[in-house]
Amino acid sequence: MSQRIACAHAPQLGLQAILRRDPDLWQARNAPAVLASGKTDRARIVHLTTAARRMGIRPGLTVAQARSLGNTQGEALRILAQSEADTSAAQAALQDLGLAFAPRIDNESERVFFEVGDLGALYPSESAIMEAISRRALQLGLAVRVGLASSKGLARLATRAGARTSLPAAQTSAAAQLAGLSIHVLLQLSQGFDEAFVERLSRWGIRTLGQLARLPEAEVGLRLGPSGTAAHRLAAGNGDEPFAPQPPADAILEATELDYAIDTLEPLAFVLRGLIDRALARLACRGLACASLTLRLSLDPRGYDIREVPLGAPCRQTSTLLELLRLDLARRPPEAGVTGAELLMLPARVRPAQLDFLRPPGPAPERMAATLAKLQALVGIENVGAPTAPDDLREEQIAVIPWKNVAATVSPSPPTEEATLPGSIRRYRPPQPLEVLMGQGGPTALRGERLVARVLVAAGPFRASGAWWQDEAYHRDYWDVHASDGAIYRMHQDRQSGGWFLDGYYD
Amino acid sequence: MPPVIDLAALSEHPLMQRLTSAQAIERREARGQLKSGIPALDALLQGGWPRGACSELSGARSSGRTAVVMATLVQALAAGEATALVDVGGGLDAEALRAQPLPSLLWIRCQPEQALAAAALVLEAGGFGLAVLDAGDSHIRMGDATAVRIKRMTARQNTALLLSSNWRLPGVHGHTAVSLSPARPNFEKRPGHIRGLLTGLQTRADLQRIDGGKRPANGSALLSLERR
Repeated sequence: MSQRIACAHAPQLGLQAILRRDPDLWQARNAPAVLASGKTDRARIVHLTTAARRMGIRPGLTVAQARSLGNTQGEALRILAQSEADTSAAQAALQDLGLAFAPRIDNESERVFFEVGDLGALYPSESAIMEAISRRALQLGLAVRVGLASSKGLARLATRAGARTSLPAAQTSAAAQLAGLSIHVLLQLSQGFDEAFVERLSRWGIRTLGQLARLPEAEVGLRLGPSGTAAHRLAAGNGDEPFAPQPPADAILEATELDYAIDTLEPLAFVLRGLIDRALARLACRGLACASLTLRLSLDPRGYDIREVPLGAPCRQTSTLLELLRLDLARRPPEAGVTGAELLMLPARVRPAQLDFLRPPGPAPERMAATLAKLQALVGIENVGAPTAPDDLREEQIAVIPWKNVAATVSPSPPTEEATLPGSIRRYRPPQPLEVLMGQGGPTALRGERLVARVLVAAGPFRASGAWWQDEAYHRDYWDVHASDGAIYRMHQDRQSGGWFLDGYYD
Repeated sequence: MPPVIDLAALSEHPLMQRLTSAQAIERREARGQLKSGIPALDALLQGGWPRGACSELSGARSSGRTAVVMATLVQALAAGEATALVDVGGGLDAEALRAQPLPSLLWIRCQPEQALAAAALVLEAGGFGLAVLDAGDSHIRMGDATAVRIKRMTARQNTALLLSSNWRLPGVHGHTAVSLSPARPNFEKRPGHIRGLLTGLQTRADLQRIDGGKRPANGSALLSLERR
């Protein structure tokens, strides 16, 4: 099958980048709105919506002039300021749109190219492919024009022929379809065709690409140079610009700049939710999940607050990731108002699982990943995992390692009798301070936070010491006591401080 | 004329208190059971903790609750079940883990007010054979609506949920309930020690409720806990 290249063009990407960050703006994207190069009245209009163009506003006017035109029309005109962070994020989102359909992409500032020849097996027609691309772009908050052709240059030109245009693979058929297009479309291809070039063609009486294609290629090249040859070849349906794939970015970066500083958590969480939503939509294009979050907050008036939020497992749920960020921000609030946010997500595949033929089915890996993240958000990252005994004689020490639902190597020891089982201690972490009345043979009475009791039987002391080569050396005397409240307690006396601590009870 | 059977009178017959209805047996077999790892307790529970239902284990400090919970966890993990322990206060003993490592146990340390939410998240995930909520010494209040929701989740996911606390949680009305009596310690005199050495505990397990029904007759078993 011949090569088929798709081009997705997001016109006025700077304006779209601002619209996609705000759901209200996105809903009203057909209303009059302009994008200015700055926040002052003297800033120039860079991009504008069709509704704003109908009001007579044109790129290059100042904000004051645009506002004046808007007032005379009696319609509300939204004036938005350009944002580098949002534009970069929108460009990256456009690349992810390509990666949703193909493993390799080639991109320009407002366009992305990718090979779709193989998608014939998944979609019934080329128009279905173009519709799918447009639909996916809308999910990413971008409105795109889609062109499909046998080469990169023709696909780029096809986006100027309509919202969704497919050029046939045959050169003559493609040229026939392009024949009616004005030569002014060459100006929008960002390929070195400037106003002077189009003006010269106009002086020759050339108005359409069809008229240009009928001229001899060599003569056009002789008079207009390489640009003339390239324009002629495009008009003749012979685009030979090579498709040069570029590697996709490793991480997903979504950023936004705020109009004013935010110093409370709730409004900031609202901003972060938008960032997470957009980043996860981009990850979904690649079929990946978020493995790690890094948040960089720009502070007022200067400085950054950078925080990393590790995840127990790759996750695709906005609510879970937002909760983790909220918890982290609540634990350690930013030192100043926030004027911008940048979210970096490291992508990862959701852990593949090989089900064990001999084991009962366990939790689904992707669902479990979300559950682990939710549990971590609820109780803290350090409190979720698999328990393990550390190399430490202090009895209260315990460690947590990441949990994996692997085949257990647990083998229960067969009970020696029908009703005999190994006992265990239920620990207090950290050990609770205790007041102990000592008699001749050991403790005789206990008083603690939730405990007042006489000692019926005491066994001990059992001495333990360690870590004498470190600052946290310990020397302890452990006791087992049967108290008058019926419980059998484990407690110790710190021989350095003389203080008593309740370790737990046999249970 | 065929004899007329008075069903109301029959249900009050002493014999009926000792019989299990065919429906209850059918329900139990459909759900399946999860062994506790203690033969005497399994015999008391008529096979083990029921799957797809909520069971209660209650007892004061040193009644052997933790030992029963650990034995059940070990048994479930050895059977290859995905197993979770919601541990209020994080009282799991590292010494017990040295003797019996539990590398695939999902352990969640939490505060009392987080426990039910954590247990609900585990149940929602699905696929867990056993989930244990060990309240330790803490007070956990479970409202009727929460109890109904938790019970429905356990039934839907066919998970055996074991609630372990100092006393039976109000509002739970678990499918099965076992209470443990305060234990009797055994101290052994050993030469060279100031006092004796604790060698183990003895406790009694009483079946309070089974198959969602009333307390059965002769429902108790003696358990011995050996010190590790």
